[in-house]
Amino acid sequence: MIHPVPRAVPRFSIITPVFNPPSDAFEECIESVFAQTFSDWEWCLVDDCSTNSWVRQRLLQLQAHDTRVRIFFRQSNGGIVAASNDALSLAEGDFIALLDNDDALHPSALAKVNEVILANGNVDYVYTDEDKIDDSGRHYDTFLKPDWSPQRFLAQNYCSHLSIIRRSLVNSVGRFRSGFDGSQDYDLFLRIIERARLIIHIPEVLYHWRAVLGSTARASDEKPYAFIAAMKAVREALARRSILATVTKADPYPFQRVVRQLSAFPKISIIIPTCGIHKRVFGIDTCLVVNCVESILSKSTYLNIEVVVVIDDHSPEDAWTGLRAIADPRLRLLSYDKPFNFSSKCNVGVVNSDGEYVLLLNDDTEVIDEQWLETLASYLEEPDVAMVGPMLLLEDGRIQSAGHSNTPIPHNFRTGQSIQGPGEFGVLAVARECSGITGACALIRRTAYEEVGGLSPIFPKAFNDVDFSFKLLDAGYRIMWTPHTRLFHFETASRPTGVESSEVELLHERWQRRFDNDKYCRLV
Amino acid sequence: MATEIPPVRGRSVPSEADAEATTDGHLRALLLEAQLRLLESRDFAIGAAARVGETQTRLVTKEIELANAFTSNHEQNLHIQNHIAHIARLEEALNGVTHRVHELTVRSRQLDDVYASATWRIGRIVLLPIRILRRVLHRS
Repeated sequence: MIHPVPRAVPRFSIITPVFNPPSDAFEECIESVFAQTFSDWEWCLVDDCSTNSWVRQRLLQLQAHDTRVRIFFRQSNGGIVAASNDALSLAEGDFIALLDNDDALHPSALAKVNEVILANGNVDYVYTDEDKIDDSGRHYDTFLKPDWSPQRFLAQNYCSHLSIIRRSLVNSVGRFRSGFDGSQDYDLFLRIIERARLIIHIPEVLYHWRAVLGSTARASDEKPYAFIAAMKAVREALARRSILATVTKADPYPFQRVVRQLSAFPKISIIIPTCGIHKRVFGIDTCLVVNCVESILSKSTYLNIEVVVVIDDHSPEDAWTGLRAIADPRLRLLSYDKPFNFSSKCNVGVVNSDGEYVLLLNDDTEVIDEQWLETLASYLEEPDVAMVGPMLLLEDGRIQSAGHSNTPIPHNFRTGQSIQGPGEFGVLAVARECSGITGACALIRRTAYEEVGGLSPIFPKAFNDVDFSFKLLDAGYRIMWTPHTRLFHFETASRPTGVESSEVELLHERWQRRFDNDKYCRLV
Repeated sequence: MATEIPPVRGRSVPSEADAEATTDGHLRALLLEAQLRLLESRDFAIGAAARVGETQTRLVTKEIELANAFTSNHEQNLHIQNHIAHIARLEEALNGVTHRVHELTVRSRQLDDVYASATWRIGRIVLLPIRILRRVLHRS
């Protein structure tokens, strides 16, 4: 008796809902699938009642051409969600690969993902870098994505293409859901990541996203309904995770802004090291520290604060006078009689304060938003977030720091650039994980500050914030940067200028392995 | 009015609060000093661990470079050995050719000697009528 040979389960099921695709683009899509260097795949295509007759014929041709192609023709047009779910019903592979009917895969896409799967048995979700193709076939907008960045993912679906997910997980979270058309993949990913054991980013462009008129690839606001669905998906995700937060549009950009509700209002100790110098600010000769403290105390709506000014004892008398004249019991002055050491001054301020959170603030800063402390503190609601920093602006309104980047070496990200625009792929418009923030304004969990030994006195002038950030990362904490609150930073007035070569050497001795190896910011 | 608190390091800021310094205040200053030293100790330990990590990373990098260099050297050595063997083969072939040339030279000389011998010349004269007859027959 002859037993039928059971069909081997393929590694990948490529899922493609089809509806009246542009013929040229569809042919390129087909070509890219058959050009895969890894052959253990099946392709599940579902025609969602295309009105172009050639689509049906072409699909039938494909099915006849290769037994790995599986086709289903819907009897009525059900939309992207229904078609995608029908395609999932056809799928038998271990992993689902999502491919739109006008996009293209890199020839090595499945092979590279398979390598990652083989090396990481418990991986459930893999995403890759992507670029776009225009009508003439030109590749552009290469998106070098960050490694897994959960905060950023709440603000934008940056994983997007190519996403490969374990099929059993897709089924267990309930597949695609109706009511999220346009952002149905984002909604699925949000549910997937809640259960995924391991998420891996492959830093290579393995997906080419077709930018045709009316597609989100061309402009993220091409489909307003998709953005509304995205907001809804994030709200539901937060509700599932029992996180009290509001989700709004990160105006004027089509990204989400998630504002967590503060569960308490822990005391924030604001530490300001200063030598009491003056600088012309907005054309007026200003004692920086007095201006800074006044802006804090007059503008902040967060009430549970103390301001500890660590002031050199040889500071100009008018600085002392100006500070003493500020009639606020929340302000304390602490004299410092040692040679300049920014780190030591901050540490002295911290041990002389008792807030649950510590905010290191340069004296050459000025508060802009009333709710700056609420905004910053909201990110520390997540227990593994140790530090958060705001967007810092120069006096003329350009960016002073949008967090740190270590690509190629540690530096303030986007210094001197215009604040206008969301930055590449929204990098300046979304709250996100980063590899460090400037010590000019950093809200830090006290326990984390103490755990890593505060700022290192061996970096008296520069790089103390870089070193501190790396210490936090090494300890397993996350660091956040947010564009949703801004301060002025009239840079370098609060410390001697220049960088000591000894500090550069020390930084290399401790952390060179982190240079040009920034998992959150690969943009140069 | 801003409150001025005793410093951890350095001289105190003259104030009414300092004038009322007590044993508690002194103890507090000691505590703060200890906290500061604890921070610095932790930083020292973490910094040392970071240096070790950096050294290990560099070591691994160097090991990889070394392994690559070894592989490269090995390949180059192999290439050189192959080259030397090839040269040896060429030299052997050259020696063979030289030997053959020598042999041919000797034979050529021997042949010249034969042509120059009286026996050869007498034989040619003796056989001359036969050669003439053969040519005539060939022409006809």
